Amino acid sequence: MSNASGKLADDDRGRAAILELQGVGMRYGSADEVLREIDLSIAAGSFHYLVGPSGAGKTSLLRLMSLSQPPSRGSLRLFGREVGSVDRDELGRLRRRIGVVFQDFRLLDHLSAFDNVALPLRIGGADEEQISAYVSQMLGWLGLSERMEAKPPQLSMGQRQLVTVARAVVTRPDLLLADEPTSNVEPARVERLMLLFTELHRLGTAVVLATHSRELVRRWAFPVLHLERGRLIRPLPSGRAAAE
Amino acid sequence: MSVAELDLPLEDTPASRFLAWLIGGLTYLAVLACAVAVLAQAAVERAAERPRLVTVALPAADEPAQGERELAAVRALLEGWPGVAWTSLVSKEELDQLVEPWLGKGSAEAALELPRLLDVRFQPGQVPDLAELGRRVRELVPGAAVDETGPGRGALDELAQRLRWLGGGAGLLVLVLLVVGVVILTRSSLDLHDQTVDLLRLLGAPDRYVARQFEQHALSSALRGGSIGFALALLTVVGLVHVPALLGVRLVTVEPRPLDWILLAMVPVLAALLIALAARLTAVHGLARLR
Repeated sequence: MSNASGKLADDDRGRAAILELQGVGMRYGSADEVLREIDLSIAAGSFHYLVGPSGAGKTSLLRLMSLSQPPSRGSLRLFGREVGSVDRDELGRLRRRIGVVFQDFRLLDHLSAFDNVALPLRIGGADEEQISAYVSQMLGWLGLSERMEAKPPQLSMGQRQLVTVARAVVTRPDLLLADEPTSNVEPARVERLMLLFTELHRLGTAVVLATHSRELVRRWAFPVLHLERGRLIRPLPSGRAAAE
Repeated sequence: MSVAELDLPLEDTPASRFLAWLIGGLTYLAVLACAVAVLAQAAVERAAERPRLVTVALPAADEPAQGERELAAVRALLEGWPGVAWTSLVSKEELDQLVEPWLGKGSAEAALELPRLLDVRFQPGQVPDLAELGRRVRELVPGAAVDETGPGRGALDELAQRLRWLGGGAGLLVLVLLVVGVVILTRSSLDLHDQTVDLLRLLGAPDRYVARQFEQHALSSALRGGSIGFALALLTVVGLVHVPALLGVRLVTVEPRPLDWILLAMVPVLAALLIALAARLTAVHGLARLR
């Protein structure tokens, strides 16, 4: 649905927007824009799927939202701050409020699963006792208690993906951006992951989950952002998006 | 889980492993250079503490009675001079022995008039003003001469002073080289690990957090390499001082004092602090460049 200004928005009327994009375009280097005219508002505690064919720009949009790539034009406001005008320290503070599940995992191979998950907590200055409690609990919940000391090359693809998810959510971020978080995970664990995401959503985290899985969109009904050739088109109801 | 494990895999590159060896080698050289400076300083101080020996030569007097009066007056002057331990008139026999190589046996008995010599020994640590002493002696006995005994004393002092500056300068130069090496290695590590640095930043790490990783790695390398370099340098210094003496040869005539050992131990500590600071500042500068 569109709001009064024509901006694509979620169903959570009345909730403050934590992420706002207006007329945003994005390109890599001097190539053509991969995202064009993106107008989008994500409210606190909302849940969205981000769908679209391969190459539509889903990962690029998530990179933009996670502040790993700057917009080539337009305005990007995150947690009430215009991102283009914040200094480096403020940028770090904004990033610490976002959890990102990278499609390519981006785990550090020389660190154990435990230390990979502990990374955002250490960066945030948590004490080791707290870190030990949170990380053990999180990895245990995801069924990785026995693999805490294993390093990423010793883990299966599915286990690496779970570690990536654990790292993204261990700080209970205000915004969770997940790029195909269930693609390598065995079906039995997909349900557990979705339970984790919906629980975070219930506790107030805004979730944007990029997926190709129609099954996912059908089973857990949330608004859908549809990206096509770098442009956001009208959000589809969950059921129709799954059908398409 | 290891808390000490760094987020950046800085130990996993040949350049990083080389850092500890580089630090070890250069610390070894720096400690040796500083040991030269410290030993030279000890030699200067020891030389200054050695009692000075001065010879006063009075020309032969025309009359024996006049000679006796001059000698008494000069001895009275010397014995009242600050820092003088004792004076002693060189006997006729000693004088004869002194001139014998040039004038032949029994020359002192001959008609040749030889000067009268007085040995003057000063208290240890006293530095006599020989110019003033000579002036006062010549007021009593015109033509008298005052000279310090011991050949090349001034030249030895000067050599020791030069060694001190040379050793200190070389130590400083090695520390500068160490810092330059650390700056180059930190820069290359920053380029090599840019992907991981990018990830840490995406997770919200401020530049000071990333820079601290480089600082910690450099500090731990400095402590490891520096300890080994220091230990080897100590063995070298002790070897140079003691082993030749055991073999009956003495290469170094002074030994480091306890304070000197403490000063030498400060070299790797200073090096470690400089290295950590250099790594941190280089990383901060490099991270600003990577923006």
